[in-house]
Amino acid sequence: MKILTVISKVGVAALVICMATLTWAADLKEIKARGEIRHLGIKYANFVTGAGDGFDVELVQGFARHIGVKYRLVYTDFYNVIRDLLGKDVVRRGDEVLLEGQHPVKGDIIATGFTVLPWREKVVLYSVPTFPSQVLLVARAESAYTPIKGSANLSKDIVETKAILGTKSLLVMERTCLDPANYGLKGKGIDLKAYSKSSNLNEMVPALLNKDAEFTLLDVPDAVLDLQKWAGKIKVIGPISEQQELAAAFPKSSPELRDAFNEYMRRIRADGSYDRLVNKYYPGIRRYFPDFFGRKGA
Amino acid sequence: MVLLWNAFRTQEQLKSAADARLIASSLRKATAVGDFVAERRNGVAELAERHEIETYLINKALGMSPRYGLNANLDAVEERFRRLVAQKTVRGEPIYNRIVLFDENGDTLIDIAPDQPAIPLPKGTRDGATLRVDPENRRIVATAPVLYRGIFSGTVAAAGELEQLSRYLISSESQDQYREVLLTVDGRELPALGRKAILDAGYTHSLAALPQNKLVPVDPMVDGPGGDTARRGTLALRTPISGVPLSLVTILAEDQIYGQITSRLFLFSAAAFPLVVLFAAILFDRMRRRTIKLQVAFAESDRRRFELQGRNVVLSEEIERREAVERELRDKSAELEAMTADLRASMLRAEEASLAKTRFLATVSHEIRTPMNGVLGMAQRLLAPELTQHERQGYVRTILNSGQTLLTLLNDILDLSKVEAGKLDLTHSLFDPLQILEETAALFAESAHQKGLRVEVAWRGPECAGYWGDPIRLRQMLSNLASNAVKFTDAGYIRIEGTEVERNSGQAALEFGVSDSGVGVPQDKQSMLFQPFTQVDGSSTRRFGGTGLGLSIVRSLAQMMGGEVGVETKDGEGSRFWFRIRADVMAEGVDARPREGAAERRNGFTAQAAAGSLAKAEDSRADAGDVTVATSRGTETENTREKTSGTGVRPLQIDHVVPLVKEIELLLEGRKFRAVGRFQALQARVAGTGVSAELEPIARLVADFRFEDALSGLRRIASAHGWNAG
Repeated sequence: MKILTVISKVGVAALVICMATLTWAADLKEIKARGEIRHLGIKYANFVTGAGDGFDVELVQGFARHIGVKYRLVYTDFYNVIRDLLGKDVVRRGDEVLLEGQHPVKGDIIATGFTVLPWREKVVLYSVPTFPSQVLLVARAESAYTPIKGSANLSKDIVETKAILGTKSLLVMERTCLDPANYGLKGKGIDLKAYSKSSNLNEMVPALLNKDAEFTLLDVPDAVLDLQKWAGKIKVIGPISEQQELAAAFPKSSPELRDAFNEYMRRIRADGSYDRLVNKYYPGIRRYFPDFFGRKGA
Repeated sequence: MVLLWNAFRTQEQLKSAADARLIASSLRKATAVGDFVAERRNGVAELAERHEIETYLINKALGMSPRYGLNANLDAVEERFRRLVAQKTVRGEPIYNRIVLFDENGDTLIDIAPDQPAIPLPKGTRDGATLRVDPENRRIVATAPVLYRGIFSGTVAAAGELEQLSRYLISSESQDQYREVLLTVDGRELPALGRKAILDAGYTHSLAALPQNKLVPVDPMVDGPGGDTARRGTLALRTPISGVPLSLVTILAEDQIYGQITSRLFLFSAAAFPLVVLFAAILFDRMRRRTIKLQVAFAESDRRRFELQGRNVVLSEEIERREAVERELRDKSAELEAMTADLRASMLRAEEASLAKTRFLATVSHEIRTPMNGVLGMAQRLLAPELTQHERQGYVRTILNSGQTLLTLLNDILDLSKVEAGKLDLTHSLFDPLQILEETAALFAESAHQKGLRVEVAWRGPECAGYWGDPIRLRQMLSNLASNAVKFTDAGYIRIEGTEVERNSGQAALEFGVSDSGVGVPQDKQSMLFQPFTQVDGSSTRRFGGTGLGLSIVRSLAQMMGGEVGVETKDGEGSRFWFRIRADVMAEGVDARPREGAAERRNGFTAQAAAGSLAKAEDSRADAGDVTVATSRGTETENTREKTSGTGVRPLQIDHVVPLVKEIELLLEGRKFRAVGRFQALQARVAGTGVSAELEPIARLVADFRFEDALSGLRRIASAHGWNAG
């Protein structure tokens, strides 16, 4: 086992080195030289609506203007988004994250309600948080399970919620923010039902209503929308995770580009442009994350 | 009065219209204010029904905790509130400056302006949307209950600036004579933002108690500029605002709405001058009546004038027709008068002619009866036995003379008849005027000699004058004049003369005249001369006989010859009868000797002795049983002056004699009595010549009507002198 572990670490190191070699060139200077920035987006909630707009679409468009280049949206999905950014497949083995294979790099920035996760931080550079999030446990309205009352103690509320979940069936979507591995739900006896019909998180509630499972995971940005959209059809039982942050992701080889983005973020949060974007695409999110939206600048 | 009443009514109507306009304006503004606040109330009511709130309530009903899920719903509700505040604006200012969502217990769930004074929720807010005024905080608050499945689940309350009502919907600006203020039901003034109340509390309380929608006079009690002025004639109108416990009160000066002329002023004026108005009304009425009468009179006058004009036209036409008729009548009358005059003249002429003819008949009868008595008496004597040759010849001669007289008379009558009938033709032959003068003188030499008269002949004209004309008629005219001269002259002379008075272009005017020293013609009788069948003395006891045709024939013949006749006479001093004729002058080189013979031409005065005279029966009364015949024989007069050649015998012009001799021969052969006269003419022509004595015996034979013997003797003499040679 040790030999294999050593070999894996070496391999990972070698892959990292190799990836860095292949992608380091797509930094700010190259993008400016190219005159175009490629935005990798996933149809997800109101971040990328699929109609050519969305919170993250406008965010990156503003960034393109900020650095003085053209903007191009490149659609992808949660399974391939890192590969399209880095040109490598991401392989998670336990806590290890491996980059394998060789693929064309399709984008320069991921901004699509991309949750900041520890394993992702191993392969990409995150910007300052662009949006808050949290994973909730959602059930159908007619479900016999009652939402928790909620308290000032989030951890307690998470425990209470997971207690309600028990071992019942749960819709999840791996390698996304709804990956049960992110929240310690694997190996707990929960009847995990990975949704594999598509990589679109917006289809989770319909699948729930289709009784694919008793519960589903849903991040807050999606939940805010779905509670309006499916009012009376679904209900939030309680939190599954701590509060999360979403951010733009860059290759490790693009620190200048990331820094430029962070600078851009500071500016739009200072001038109110950011708040207008939030109000436009997520009008009910502020009250949910008063601490996050109360901040001015990162 | 009617005018004044109408003016009064007009003023009242204007006043009513002004009141209505003001009330309508106030109602519009009150309605606008009501609509404005109603929109707030309705907006809040709609907000309470928004799906964001409903979603919250649904999710709340599902038991979701506010921390996990409901917060997102509330945030959506808050965002809705904020968008509503942003959307609902007036002139850029939000009509809501605060929206609060209360739960069913009145706890605040959402408050977009939590720093503002709390909004109390009085009773009744659960029953429905309300609108209330919060004058303390200068705001107007609309509330609406939130119901979920019919259960009261909360309240939405929205507050806005109260001053917006005054600022945007009414004339809140302070003016001297016009103000609009909003009052609460308890009489508190709601001034516009940034302004203070201009009315005191007591006054606003009285204004709030005014009847609604009625313009009433009030005591101004206005503070501020113009207040003193506004105290006179101030009106106020209170209009409640629907749906909100407010009233719009309009305060204005009476002059501003009614102007300077108001009905009150009018009434004062009317009261001050009622008599003037009454007098003016009466005067106006009289003037109106008079005008109406005048109009009627004018209309009647116009009608009559038109009628008269029509009649005048008819009359004018009638007058014209009558004038035309009168003119025609006058013309007819004139014609009739002329015809009458003509008829009268014709009648007079007819009467005169009739009288003349009567006289003529009497005269002619007398003139015929005398020779006829002679003929008959002598014929009776010839029947007596034992008559001597001399007596028998004497009787026969008397018969012959009487017949000659009758013949002459008949010839005169015949000539006059021809002249008057226009059937007398004039000859056109060459004649010697001197010759004719001499022949005429010779013709009457005997009779003149018997009365002891001196006969003179004169021609005052060119020598060897020859003219073209009718010498026979000329001789007849002179004979008639000479006959009268001899007849009416008892002593003195007879002058037969001729004169060429004018010559022009081959034509000459000749004047012949016979003067005498006879009885003359009285002035009053001169007009009767030259009239046929008239004589100066036409009585049956007249002294001188005659038919009265001689001068008439002379005049007629003179007129036919283009001349005229005339007389110069004086009663008892003689007369000169003359006539003028026009005759063509003989051309030079033409033999002027007349074909019938002419007297030998002499220079100057010529005396001619009558070769003989025909015994003429004296005017006698031949009674049936006492017949007297007087005869006379003409001889050569002693007074006849003649100039002869040196031998004392005038040479005979054969050419002048032969035609006449042949004529006489023919007459004698035919036993024509004219042979007597023509033979006398022959004697005249040969007078003074050697032949004259030879013709004497033959003349006696002719005078005795022994025509056969006379013919034989005449042929013998003619043969002896070679007159038959040709």
